Amino acid sequence: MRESIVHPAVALVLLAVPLAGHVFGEPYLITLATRVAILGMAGVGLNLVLGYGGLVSLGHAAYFGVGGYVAGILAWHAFHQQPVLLWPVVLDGTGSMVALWLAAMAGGALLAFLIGCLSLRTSGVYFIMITLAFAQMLYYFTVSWPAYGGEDGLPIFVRSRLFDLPTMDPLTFFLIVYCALVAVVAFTSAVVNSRFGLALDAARQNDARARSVGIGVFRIRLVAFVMSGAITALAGALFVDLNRFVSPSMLSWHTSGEIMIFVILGGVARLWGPVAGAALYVLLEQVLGGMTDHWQFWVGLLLVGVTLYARGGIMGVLIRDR
Amino acid sequence: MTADPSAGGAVLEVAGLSKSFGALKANDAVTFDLKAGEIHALIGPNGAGKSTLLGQIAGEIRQDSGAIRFRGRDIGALGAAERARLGLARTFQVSSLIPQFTALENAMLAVQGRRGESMRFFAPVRKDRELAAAARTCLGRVGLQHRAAVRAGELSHGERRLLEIAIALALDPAAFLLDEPMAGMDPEGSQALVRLLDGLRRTAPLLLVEHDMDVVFALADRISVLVYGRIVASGPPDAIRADSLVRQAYLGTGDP
Repeated sequence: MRESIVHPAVALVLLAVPLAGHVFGEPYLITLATRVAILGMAGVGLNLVLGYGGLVSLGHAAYFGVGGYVAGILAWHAFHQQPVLLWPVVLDGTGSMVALWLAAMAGGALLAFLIGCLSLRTSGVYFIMITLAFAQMLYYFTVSWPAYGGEDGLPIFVRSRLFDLPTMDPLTFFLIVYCALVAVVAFTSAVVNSRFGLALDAARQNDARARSVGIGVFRIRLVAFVMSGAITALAGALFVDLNRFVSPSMLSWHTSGEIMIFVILGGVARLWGPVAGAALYVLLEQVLGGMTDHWQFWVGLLLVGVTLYARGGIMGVLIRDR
Repeated sequence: MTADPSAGGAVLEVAGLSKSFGALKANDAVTFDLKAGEIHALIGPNGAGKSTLLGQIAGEIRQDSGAIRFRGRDIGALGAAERARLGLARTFQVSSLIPQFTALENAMLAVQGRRGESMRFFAPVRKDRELAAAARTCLGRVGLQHRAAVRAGELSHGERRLLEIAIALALDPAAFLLDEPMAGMDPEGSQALVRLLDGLRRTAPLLLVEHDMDVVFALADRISVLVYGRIVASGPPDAIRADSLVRQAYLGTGDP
């Protein structure tokens, strides 16, 4: 199948499943599809640096979690009608989805900028370790931060508002998430096909050559890293809104590993790949998880199979035009 | 277009450039220049420090001391990308291309890199006719226009050598730094390449590191001889051929 068919097909299936769930009275399917869309979005963020930029970040839980905590803390303060800050400015919480998204993305972007400035000076296994180390630092910080629940996490009680939409309705919330996902993929598509994307891809393949033709490799990678952090943070904010709960586990290295699994299972450097990967992962979690507590063993086996025999992941198997 | 009048005809000036790797002196107070319109060949035995010198001029290796002036400005503290954006175009001894990009995309990357347009995020680059046309012109100048759509990784060795030069041309260069452009070329390819290099000097002066002495003596206006990181002789080809020190140190035992 051609790439121009497979990508819309993945997008349509993701839309069709919760609609079917709505029609046939299986709201459980809607929640699953919402999870897939959100986790897939986190993977789309990672894919920008991992797939297109060749930068293996094992710390994307940091952006997922920071997006979640930024959104969660603002929503919690809004619910309890306490200002987040009194000094130097009075900052109130907010229950507005758009404000929460923007704040989460800003937080993710800022964190990615700081971590990127330090980690992008390294490469290979050092890069993997540094990104992991930063994420773990944040994880232990949230665990030992009593103001917002520490280890136990922070329940938020209400879902945030978007215009006058009934956001507590599962299908409505799914459609909001789905629109956000489509927008993120469209943004990623434009970026990777632009001059910037050409430079990022060139730097992945041969950074010395890229420099020798005037490409500022560090700057290009840093910008990609910031975009990636913002996207994954947006996914984190949506995840918290879905569960109405934020906890340190969002920041743990398991989460980083899972986001990477979505990308690898789905197919690196494929726009909808991480969404397909997240769908397969959630499906296995549901099906195998119902049969055995050790379902992750089988996921691991599948991952070994994919890395050995199907490097392109699901999208690589489906797409046969290059 | 390339000569900077303020530099008195010298496009590139290297003064007292030194670089040590531990106890090894790769370059020891190297001083020379590259003038508008000329081909200046840099020769020397293996390990003489030619590639290190080229790497320092291109900005890949930081010098320990000394100055590099290009188009009248001190570039010693600039990175490789910044130097390329000023029009310093280097080729690699072992072809160094973007393997999954087509020949055309390799050249397009250089055009956009030179213009500093890599922070454009939304316009689709592969539909940009103007960028492609500029890149295609460069492929045409080395005779690769019919291979524009072939991935660099699938080009023949000789074609890759030519693509290296097309990429350098795409940088709208003010000076070429060519690291053994003839390496591994077959005899016919070599002849064509010599003619190509000969014509390049009308675009910008060439600093040419080359092992093939026939090529060097056929093309060079000036030759500098590098031995153990030092320039032991510099001058027109005839003078170099006659220099006993050079014959002893480098050209070997026989008569020139």
